[in-house]
Amino acid sequence: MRGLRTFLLGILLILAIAPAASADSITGRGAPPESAGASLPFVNGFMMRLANAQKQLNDTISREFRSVHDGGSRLAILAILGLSFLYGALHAVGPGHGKAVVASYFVANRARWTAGIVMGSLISLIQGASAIAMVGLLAIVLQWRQFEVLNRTASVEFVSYALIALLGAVMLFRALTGRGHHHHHGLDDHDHRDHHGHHAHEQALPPQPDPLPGGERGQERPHRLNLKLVIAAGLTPCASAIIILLFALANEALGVGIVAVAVLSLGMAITVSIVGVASVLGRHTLLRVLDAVGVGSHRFEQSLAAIGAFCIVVFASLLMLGAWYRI
Amino acid sequence: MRTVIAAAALLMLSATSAAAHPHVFIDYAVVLQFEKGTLKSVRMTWTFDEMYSSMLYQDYTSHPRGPLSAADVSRLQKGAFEDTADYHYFVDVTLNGKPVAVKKVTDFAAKFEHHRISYSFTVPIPDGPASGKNALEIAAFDNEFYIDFELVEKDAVGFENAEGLGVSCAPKKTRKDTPVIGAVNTVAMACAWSQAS
Repeated sequence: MRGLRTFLLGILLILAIAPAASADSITGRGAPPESAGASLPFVNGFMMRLANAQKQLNDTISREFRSVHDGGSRLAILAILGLSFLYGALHAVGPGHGKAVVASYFVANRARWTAGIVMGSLISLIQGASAIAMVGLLAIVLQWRQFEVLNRTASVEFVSYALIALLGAVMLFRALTGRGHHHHHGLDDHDHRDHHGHHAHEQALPPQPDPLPGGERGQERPHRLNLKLVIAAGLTPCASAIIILLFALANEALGVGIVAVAVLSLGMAITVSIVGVASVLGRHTLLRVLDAVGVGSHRFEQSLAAIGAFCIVVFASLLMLGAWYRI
Repeated sequence: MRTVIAAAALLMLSATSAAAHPHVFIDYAVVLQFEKGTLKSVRMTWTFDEMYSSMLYQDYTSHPRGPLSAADVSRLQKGAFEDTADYHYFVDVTLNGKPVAVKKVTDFAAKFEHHRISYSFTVPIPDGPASGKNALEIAAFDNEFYIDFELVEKDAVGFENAEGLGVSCAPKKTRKDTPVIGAVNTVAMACAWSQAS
């Protein structure tokens, strides 16, 4: 547990001294990055429809918040919660929200599909908590201006991605040097023994069924989520959650805002979990196919561990650069 | 194999700037401003979503709530508009198929109505089009999707001094380049008219 506590303290310290964001109010970023010019044709009209759906939801949620402010009807609160859930699920379909980390992680690690749900949900919920903590500290306690609070997310993102890159590098190092099968030795092995009953769902994932015919069923110890990675990925608050909280604050309905963000995070959890489960199943299928055609899937598993870790390092570094632009 | 491809595509999709999904929603409308039969400029209006409007209002205007003062408008312009120049004000214009460089806009104005802040500004069209048939395409677009721009549903286009030019406009599906996911569909306002010679 001491390792994790030191990790958390370290994060707080870094966040405290991280430079304030100077991102512009309206663009939410610094200088424009260059175009990469690549094309994924299948997203064509999808982004447009996705954005439009979010606009409608955002619109309705705003109106309901005003009606809570004006009259305080219970129906309005219910509407806000339902809509926030949908908003979260849709919003998380767009880029970000730790999906790349989750997907890469389950490329690298053998795990049950339930681990995909646990990791996706934990990241999303921590992200919501992070937004609530940020608004609570910066907007309410320190009375920062609204855009100062929103733009501070860039610094938090930077720290988060730096930590993810670091943890990914550790994973990569282990995969390359073959220092143990990492599904046997999660970074936090010693962190969750016996005590901490409330964490039971994250530590004691039941043993997975053997994904490989003729493998070592029963010898596998349960996969332990890399909790540090989950926390690092959960640090980045979603800008939309912050915007909703600030709007709730302006409408003197902060309580409703907090519950709305919790529900929004649940919605995001659904989407991110789907990515996690898809990745778990993708890896599973790939190994089975390799086994069926007679390629040694065991050796390939080590390659996957390295590939997944490598992806985490690359994605996190790219995102780190993106956040740097906006600081 | 399909699963692998899907997983790879998913990874690529995910690996993008965290700023890349819309956090700001803007409805926009345009007014084509003619002078003596020549298109001189386009007046663009952005109307922000309520949440973002509230943030702008809280940070850049004097309380309590009410119409914006001249000082409020200039604070908004300095604090939350001028820097969009780096992004050519998110305005994409082509005149007869050729892109028009948007370097400077004029006559910034801002309003607060129905819980929403709206900005208006004039985009000069420097080289007046040649005589004969002309076509203009204009859209507001943020290729990083931090802002979602959409043509307002009603009265998305208007004209000034356009009598006798036979101007006709309609929303048109178009494709725009984005840094991460490549070209995507969006909607621009496409107009055509006959220049007085």
